[in-house]
Amino acid sequence: MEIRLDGNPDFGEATCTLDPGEVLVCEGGAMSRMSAEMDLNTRAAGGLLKSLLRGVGAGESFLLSEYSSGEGGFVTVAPVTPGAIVHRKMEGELLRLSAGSYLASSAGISLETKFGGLKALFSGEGAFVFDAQGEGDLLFNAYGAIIEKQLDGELTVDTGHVVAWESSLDYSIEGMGGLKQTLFSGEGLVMRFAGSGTIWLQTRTLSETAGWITPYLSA
Amino acid sequence: MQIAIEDRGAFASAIIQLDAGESFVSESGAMYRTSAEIDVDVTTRSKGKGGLFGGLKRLLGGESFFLSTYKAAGGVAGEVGIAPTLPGDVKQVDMDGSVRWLCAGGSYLGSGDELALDTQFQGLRGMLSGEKMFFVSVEGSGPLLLSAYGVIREAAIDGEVIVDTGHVVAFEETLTYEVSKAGGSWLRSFLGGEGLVMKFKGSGRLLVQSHNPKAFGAKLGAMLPPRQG
Repeated sequence: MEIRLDGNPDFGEATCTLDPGEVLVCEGGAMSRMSAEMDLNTRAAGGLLKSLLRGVGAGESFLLSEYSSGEGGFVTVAPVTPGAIVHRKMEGELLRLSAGSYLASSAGISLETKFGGLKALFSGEGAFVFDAQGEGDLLFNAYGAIIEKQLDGELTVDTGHVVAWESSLDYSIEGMGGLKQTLFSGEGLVMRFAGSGTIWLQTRTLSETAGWITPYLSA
Repeated sequence: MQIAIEDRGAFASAIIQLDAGESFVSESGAMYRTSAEIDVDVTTRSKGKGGLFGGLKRLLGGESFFLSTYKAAGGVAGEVGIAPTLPGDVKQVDMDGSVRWLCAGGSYLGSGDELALDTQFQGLRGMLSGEKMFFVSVEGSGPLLLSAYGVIREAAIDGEVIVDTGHVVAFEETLTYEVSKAGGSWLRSFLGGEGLVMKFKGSGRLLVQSHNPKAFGAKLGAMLPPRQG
C-alpha cells in the first residue's frame, strides 16, 4: 500500500493506493473519493457490543469500513475535523489512540476498543481508547496541528489534547488539583504520563470550540 | 475585470478589480470590502433567470436567498473583496462558454455578471437521504469563483471515479454521474456512516474538497446544547 499525505497541517487528507486484493480499513464515513471498482465491507472493531458502546459513549461511528478491489485502486480518506494527519509505519508495537483520533489502517493492524475507566467517562473527551497493534500502516489525525514528543520521564496533558501514545507509557487520569481548581481553572481532567515512549498531542480541541460557539447560538 | 485570489490555503479570499461599467455577482454576505465607487445592489435576480422564483430556487440550492451585484458605476473603476464563510480555499474557473458547470450547494462564491445562474434539482433519492442534492448551474463565458471547506483539488477521472456527495465542489456538465451508495448494500453503507456518493464518468473537469462541511457540522453540533423550540 502506498500512502500520500496532502494538505497537512491545516486540511490533511490521505490517498491510499491499494494492490489487487489489498484492504484499507477506515473509520466509517472517512472515504471522500475512490476508484469506481472498490468494494465496501462493514465490520465492528473488537466486538459489536463494545463498538456499540463506543459509538454511544464517544460519539463515533461504531462500525469500520473496509475497502478493497480485485483490480486494486485508490481510496482517499479525510478526517471530519480540519487538522494534521500522521502516517505511522507500525512494526508490531501497540499504539493507544484517544476517541476520534483513528482514521485508517492496513489489514495487518488489529483494532480494539478499550474502556478507559470511569474517570475517562467524565473527562468529556470520550470514555474509550482505541488500541492499534500490528505490522503495517496506521493513519491518525488531530484537530489542529500535531505535536510529537519523545517522553522520558513525566508529562501532564489536558485530556482533550491527547491524540495517541505508545503503550510503553503508563498513564493515569486525574484532576489538576483539588475539586475547586478543577471546577474553576478551566482545566478539566488531565492525563499524567510516565515512562519512555512517544506521545502525540493536538493543538486544539473540538469540545473547546463547541464551548466557545455555544453562547453565540440563538435560543 | 481582474481577479486575484489571496492567501490560498486555509483562509483564502478574492479581490475583483472592476473597470468602469463592469459588474460582478456574489453570494450575498460574501463582500468584506469595497471601494467607494462601487454600487452594491442586493437582488434575487441574475442575468437571464429573473425574479423572485429564481431567488427561491437559489434558496433551495443551499445558497443564500439573495445575490449581491457590485457595479463600477459613474464611469470609475473600483474593487471588491469577497470571502467565503468557511475556512478553506478559493478557486477561479475561467469559463469559455462551451460547457456549463454545476456547483454543489455552498460552493458557489461569485461570478462575472455575464454568467447566467440557475439551480438544478437532482431527484428524490437525494431528498430521502436528508442530503441536499441541488446544484447551482453556471453558463456562459467569464470568471466563476468557487469556495470549499478545506483544499480544492482537481480529481482525475480515470474511466470512473466515486466521490462522497459532501466532497463534491463543482464539475463540468459533460461528465455523467449517478447518485449511489458507497458499497454493496444500502444497510451497510448507512450503518457504516458512508453516505451517498456520486459516480462520475466521461470527460470533463471535476473539483473536490478535502473536507466535508456537513460531517464537521454534525460532529460539532453534537457537542452543542439542544436548540430551543
